[in-house]
Amino acid sequence: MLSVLDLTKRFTLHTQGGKVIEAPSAFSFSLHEGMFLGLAGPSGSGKSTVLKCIYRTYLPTKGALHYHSLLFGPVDLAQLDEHRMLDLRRTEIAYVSQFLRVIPRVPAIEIVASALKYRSSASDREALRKAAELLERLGIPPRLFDTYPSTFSGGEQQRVNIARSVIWKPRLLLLDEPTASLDSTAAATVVDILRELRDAGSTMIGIFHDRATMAQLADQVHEFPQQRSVHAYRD
Amino acid sequence: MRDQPLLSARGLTRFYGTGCVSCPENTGPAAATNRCSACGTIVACAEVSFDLYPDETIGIVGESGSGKSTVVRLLHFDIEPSAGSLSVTIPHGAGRQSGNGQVHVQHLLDGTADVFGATAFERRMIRNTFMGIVYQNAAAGLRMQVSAGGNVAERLIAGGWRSVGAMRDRAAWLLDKTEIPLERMDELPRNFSGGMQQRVQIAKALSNSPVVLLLDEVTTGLDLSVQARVLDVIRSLQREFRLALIVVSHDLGVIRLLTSRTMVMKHGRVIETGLTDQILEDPQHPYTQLLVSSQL
Ligand SMILES: Nc1ncnc2c1ncn2[C@@H]1O[C@H](COP(=O)(O)OP(=O)(O)OP(=O)(O)O)[C@@H](O)[C@H]1O
Ligand SMILES: Nc1ncnc2c1ncn2[C@@H]1O[C@H](COP(=O)(O)OP(=O)(O)O)[C@@H](O)[C@H]1O
Ligand SMILES: [Mg+2]
Ligand SMILES: [Mg+2]
Ligand SMILES: [Zn+2]
Repeated sequence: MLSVLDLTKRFTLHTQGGKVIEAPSAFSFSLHEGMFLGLAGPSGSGKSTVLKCIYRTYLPTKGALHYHSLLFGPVDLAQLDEHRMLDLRRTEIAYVSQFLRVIPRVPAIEIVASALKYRSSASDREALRKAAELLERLGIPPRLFDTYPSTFSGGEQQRVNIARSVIWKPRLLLLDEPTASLDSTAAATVVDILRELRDAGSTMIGIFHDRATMAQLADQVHEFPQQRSVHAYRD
Repeated sequence: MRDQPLLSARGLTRFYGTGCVSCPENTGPAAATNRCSACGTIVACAEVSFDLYPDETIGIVGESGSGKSTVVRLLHFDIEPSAGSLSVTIPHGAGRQSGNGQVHVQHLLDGTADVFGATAFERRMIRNTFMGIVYQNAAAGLRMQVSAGGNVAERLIAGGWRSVGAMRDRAAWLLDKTEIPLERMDELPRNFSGGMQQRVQIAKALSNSPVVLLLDEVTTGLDLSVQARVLDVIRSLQREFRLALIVVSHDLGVIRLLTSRTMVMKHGRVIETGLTDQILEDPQHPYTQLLVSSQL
């Protein structure tokens, strides 16, 4: 479903004298439908960069990201035009970042429910019910449902973040340390939810700090080498 | 999959001055100015092209004087372009609230005509029926000596409304949507706080259920809690009315929250465009990198 060929990402830092950082370089893998790929490796080795290139938050410098989309058939995510990329983000690809970023003054339950409403024909009531169920399952106390996540703890925010992506059952889910600030109970629930999602057919790529969590989920783990000779300078 | 673009702008250009053959090369990011050294013309914006799709939100960022408001004012027909074209595609009977404006201009809305070439009357019709604008400066968007309700009613009249009772109901409904207390409907906006004035502008802009809403620094100068309130109003209205937005803001946080694609302007030119999260997290142009790194 996704095959990454020689992905290279180079950052040219113009504000720092044109310093160039390269990570990863020539990374390749392929992913079958329903598979869970884990990414592991030292900090700074380029794991998050790979996820962001797939989601196109980063523009890949070199290489191809062949994705077999439901919407458009085979596409190269590295080259896809912006509107189509946005369409894929709306209908099949989700990304769970490490931190929640939301509009102020929107209650937690609305954030999660609207992620579903925006993508399906679910009624307001149905979306709210599903959002409540999911938040409750993730251990968010119902008294917090109607409050703004800006006041939530880091772990609570992360759970809202996870909830708003898993609620619409994306076809491809990209996870950047989704359990990093969760206690072991909450982390175990997240693992259960992700497993169910995978069993229902979703494909996932996940970065987990914790090897034990990774082992519970990943069918295959790609190890990133320590970043090599990254601090090259442009002439 | 995608519909036709609602707005398709090509080569939008606006000069202030006589212009000369050297203006293009004497201005822009490479020349580091928007003033032509040969003839003194200000090239407020040049060669700005983009497509805005239904439901889509585009951000415009850039330093002061880079041409952001000029682009927005061109789209609203407030000023005339020196060059460039704009085509508009709006399906017949797009469910607008207004009177009979659409009938007069339907032949211009199939995406083939350049509406800059339409008559002043036709452009006014298009603007009053399908567009709304919130100006950077509330005084530009509101008549301060006319009540809040009256300000909305003026735009309704321009859109073809005639029944006083119906207009009053509509104004009350719009002000309620933008969280202006009804008992203040008959007060002059001059007495309102900055945040309230912006919300009256939004109500006015929404009068005729536009398909495109142009927002020029709507939250600038408001304190944080008021900003959040204005943003919240815009977001929920956008969802409810399926508005396409063009959002000009100095505040990258606002751009991140409201838009999905962003154009970066400098010295009258668009220097970079991309998905908003990409512009903010992986900016390519040196100027965009500077802009982003100085704000985060
Ligand atoms: N009526 C005018 N006559 C002459 N020059 C003008 C006029 N209107 C705008 N300009 C010039 O055009 C350029 C672009 O102005 P514009 O208002 O579009 O900037 P902006 O990007 O919106 O800036 P800001 O962020 O400060 O609002 C500026 O150099 C401005 O001085
Ligand atoms: N937006 C960015 N701008 C500049 N350098 C970046 C950016 N994102 C990541 N990097 C650099 O790319 C390398 C890989 O980072 P990252 O993918 O976050 O690593 P990991 O997730 O494996 O810890 C690091 O050297 C990091 O500093
Ligand atoms: Mg990382
Ligand atoms: Mg301006
Ligand atoms: Zn000149």
